Amino acid sequence: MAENSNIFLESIYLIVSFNRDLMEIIGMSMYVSISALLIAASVGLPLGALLATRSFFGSKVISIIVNAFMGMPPVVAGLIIYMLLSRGGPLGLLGLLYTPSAMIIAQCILILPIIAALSRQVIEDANREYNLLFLSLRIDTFTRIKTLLIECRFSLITVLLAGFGRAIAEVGAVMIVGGNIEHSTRTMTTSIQMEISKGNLELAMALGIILLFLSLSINILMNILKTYFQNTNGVSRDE
Amino acid sequence: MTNSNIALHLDNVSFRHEKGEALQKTSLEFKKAKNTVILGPNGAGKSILLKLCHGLLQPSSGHLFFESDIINTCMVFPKPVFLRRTVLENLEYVLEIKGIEKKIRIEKAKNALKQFSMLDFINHPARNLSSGEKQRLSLIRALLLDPDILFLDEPTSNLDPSATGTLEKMIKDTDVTTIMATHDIMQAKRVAEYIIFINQGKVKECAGAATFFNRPATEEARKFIEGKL
Repeated sequence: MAENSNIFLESIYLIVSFNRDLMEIIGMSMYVSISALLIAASVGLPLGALLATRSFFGSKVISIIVNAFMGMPPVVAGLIIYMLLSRGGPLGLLGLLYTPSAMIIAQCILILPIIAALSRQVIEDANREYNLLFLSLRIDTFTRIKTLLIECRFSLITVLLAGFGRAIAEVGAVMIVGGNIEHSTRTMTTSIQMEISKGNLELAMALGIILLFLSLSINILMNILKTYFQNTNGVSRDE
Repeated sequence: MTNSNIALHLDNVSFRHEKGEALQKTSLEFKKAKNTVILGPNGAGKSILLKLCHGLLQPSSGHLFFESDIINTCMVFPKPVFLRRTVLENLEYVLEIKGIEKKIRIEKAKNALKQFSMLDFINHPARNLSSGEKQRLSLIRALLLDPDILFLDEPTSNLDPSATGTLEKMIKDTDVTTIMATHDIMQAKRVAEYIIFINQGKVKECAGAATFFNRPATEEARKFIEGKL
């Protein structure tokens, strides 16, 4: 018990003293996950909006694939990207394996289906609600999608935060394609796994606390946004 | 520019959906600058006729054409839909769609709100308004677009008598050609200059309001007026 208390206190000390190794790992995690989120959002949101508003050849198949990939095991995604980026793979020449870029690609592939599928659902509901208004105003698809993305912005931020939560907590795929190389591709999750196996529980605990703090912050932020949205934009009395 | 007194012609227009023929071979003319009311019981095909006229539905057969000076039509629905924005932003949105620059948008929206005594609500979230206020805002939004014809689909069906009165006054005061669907005989008496009576997807009678209510030409119309249909 006393030993555990010591570990906890030392982990807190590592955090408040801004331990260099710790900060470097947190920085790498944030860089990889935020980059993955930005790329996945720039593809996933328009894709979700398009699937929600237009029915075109193959749209149902894409929807099914997107939904199915939401639950893709990270290690499978890691394996596929590993095979693509390894020297013998089709993208081996790019030399991306064991770099932060490979980890960004892995996280992107994991969260893109989540962002596309959830945003499709959010936008589809709004599109159904606004359909008569849009038809009546005779607006084109681009304006319709733009309006829906703006209208659903707060729900979509929640979708993005859910994607970020998944990315930052991911361990299997980034371990495979990143390799957990010190000062290069070491992230919070891969580091926790390694430090536990080494018996260095203080650093693992410190990283765990940071991850929990991030998760809590994301949830608080979601709630603040929801409340702000309801207060400033109004909820219909019929809703 | 045409001198015709007719705004919209329907030539043998039919509309069929999965449940059958909702509108049967209808030939009609809607006059300009008249408060025309499409009157009939529930399920008669009034809303479908309006949606066909506004272009929200395409006829299964027949033709529908506007006079050449009729460029813009708008429609007000029984349950208006607003964006999750303020009253001003909702009005601005429809003007933005029409490519009007921001400064003019705000000015036009404010003037319209002032004209219809809704300026106090300018910064309110539109979706938080009462049903009556929402429907008034919906009418303002439609009028802002300077329609040549305004279609109103049972606009007061969810409103109390006071809100209904306010909206009816707005409709009567406007210079725009209005075509309103309703099943409310008293409302038709208050608003209509011209009546189109429709039942079971067929137009049964077209007449001036006074003629229709005093001397209905068909048995069905007489029964409807007497509340027996």
